[in-house]
Amino acid sequence: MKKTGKLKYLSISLLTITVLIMIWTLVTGLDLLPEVLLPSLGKIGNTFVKLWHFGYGGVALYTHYLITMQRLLIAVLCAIVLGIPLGLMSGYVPLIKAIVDPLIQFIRPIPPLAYYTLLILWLGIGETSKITLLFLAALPPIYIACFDSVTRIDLEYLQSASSLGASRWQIFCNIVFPAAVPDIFTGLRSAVGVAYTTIVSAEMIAASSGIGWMIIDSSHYLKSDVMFIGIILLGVTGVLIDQLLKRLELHFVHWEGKK
Amino acid sequence: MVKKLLTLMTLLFCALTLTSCSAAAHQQPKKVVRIGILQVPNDVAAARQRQTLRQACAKLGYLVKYISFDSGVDANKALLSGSVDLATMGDTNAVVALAAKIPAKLVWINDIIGSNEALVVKKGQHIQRPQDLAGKKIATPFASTSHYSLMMYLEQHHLTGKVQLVDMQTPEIVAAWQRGDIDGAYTWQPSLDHLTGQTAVVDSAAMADQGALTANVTLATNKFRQHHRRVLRQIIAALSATHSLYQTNPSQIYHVTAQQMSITSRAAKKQIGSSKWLTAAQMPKFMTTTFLNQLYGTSQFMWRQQTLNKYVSRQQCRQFIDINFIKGGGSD
Repeated sequence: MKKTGKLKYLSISLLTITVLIMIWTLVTGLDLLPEVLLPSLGKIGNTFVKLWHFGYGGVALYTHYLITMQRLLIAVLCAIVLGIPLGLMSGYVPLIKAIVDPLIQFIRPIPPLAYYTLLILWLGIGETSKITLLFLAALPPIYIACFDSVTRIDLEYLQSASSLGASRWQIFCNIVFPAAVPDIFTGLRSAVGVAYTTIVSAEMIAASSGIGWMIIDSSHYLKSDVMFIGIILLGVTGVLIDQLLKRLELHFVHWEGKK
Repeated sequence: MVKKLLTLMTLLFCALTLTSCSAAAHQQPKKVVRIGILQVPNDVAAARQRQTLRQACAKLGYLVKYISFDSGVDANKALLSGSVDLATMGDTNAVVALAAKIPAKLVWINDIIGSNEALVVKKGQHIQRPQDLAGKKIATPFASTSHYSLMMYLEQHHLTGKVQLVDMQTPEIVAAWQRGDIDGAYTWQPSLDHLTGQTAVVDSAAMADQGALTANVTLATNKFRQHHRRVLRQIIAALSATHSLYQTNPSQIYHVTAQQMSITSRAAKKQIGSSKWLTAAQMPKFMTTTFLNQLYGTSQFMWRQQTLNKYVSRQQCRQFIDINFIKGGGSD
């Protein structure tokens, strides 16, 4: 029963995409819109093949792609390394919370592009400023997820552990951290999401590589077919990354929801 | 208490929305010309300051609305979406508009770029010959006239692919220069002046002599060209009057453009540099000969560089240039 239900919804999703593609083909086939506004799927396909063979701006397409992913990966890794301990400690030790929390809460709501030009002035036009931008975007979601998960831990667990003679460090390692892992994954997923949506901004200034830069540069020349390729690449990759993280979560967090 | 405050805020918001709506509804049904401008001391700035543009349009019952753009890239997007009727941009952006089949034509050349755009490098880089540029990092706003001039310069000296080019807007170029992130830049005034400790390599006047001329041009949408012929003619006449003034009395132009831009006359003079403003008498011939060749050449170069994904024929370039709105040009 459950399986047929799933299949039903999957086929509806596929149908939506098919209808969308049909409308697209129809509109471009009948020349209802200028090509600059909506290039045909065939044209986009041709351009993709061309880009694959000749690259864009003298750089191979997969190199653009890898550079973008590398920037994202480094930034998210840094955010994990700093954000998880910071969030957990902040939830566990009030003193740390008092120091760190105001800073993160201040950065969190600011649109990254607002401080990007400052980052460039401080850190230059190289990789550092781009990765820092993505890092600053990814840090708050991880921090907040960790922080929240610690504050939500059942006090009973902590009390019984300490009455059994566990030290604060033992409690942290054996109760606080495992209890927080499911939330860490949720935080990670939203962190990757936020960093990912910032990627085009990060590659907008002083870059000459990356999928985000390719989209911006082709927009200078109104090459909408290239823009569509960049957007589709980013979209598909985004979905894949999210699915991957979901799988990882299922794999590692088998105890969620169990007492 | 909170509830009251919320109600009050909602009411206030509604009231504001309503008043703004009615204000919009009360606007006079006058016809409006929307002109996309670049924030530079050019003929549009002069005609705007001297009120001649406003008067010329008012005579025919039009209001003028200016929308400023940072570059021709954004001006093209505005033309494409029908947000402006006229827009000034570099000729490289005009080629992009032509290749993308934006429904617009080139009706005026605002200026031929001279010493106000140049390639400069940092002192102490030991760059004596063009070949010394190999391996250096040079910044320029991509898709601009400066970018084109730089690419042409590199091609002339067989340096294509040997120099690292970075895409930056002019304020970022100044910042990157001061931080030491770049070795050189091809850019325009006033940012060119902010690049301290520079050695000039080449400027656009020299590039024009070598056959790589760049210019700022005005594009008008086909809709506007067809339905508002008289006012377009008046606008071009107002612009051409500033060109005549520039040729007879340039200090007047420095003065008015400086006022319009809120800068000093000296700064305006420097920013205009050796750019050429042709008179209405010189314009039609120039547009249909030298400039046509240049426009075609530029499109071929951009096609070869794959910055254009559409081939542009000479015939298309010829049809793109419309001299009918210039006094003494074309059929009138």
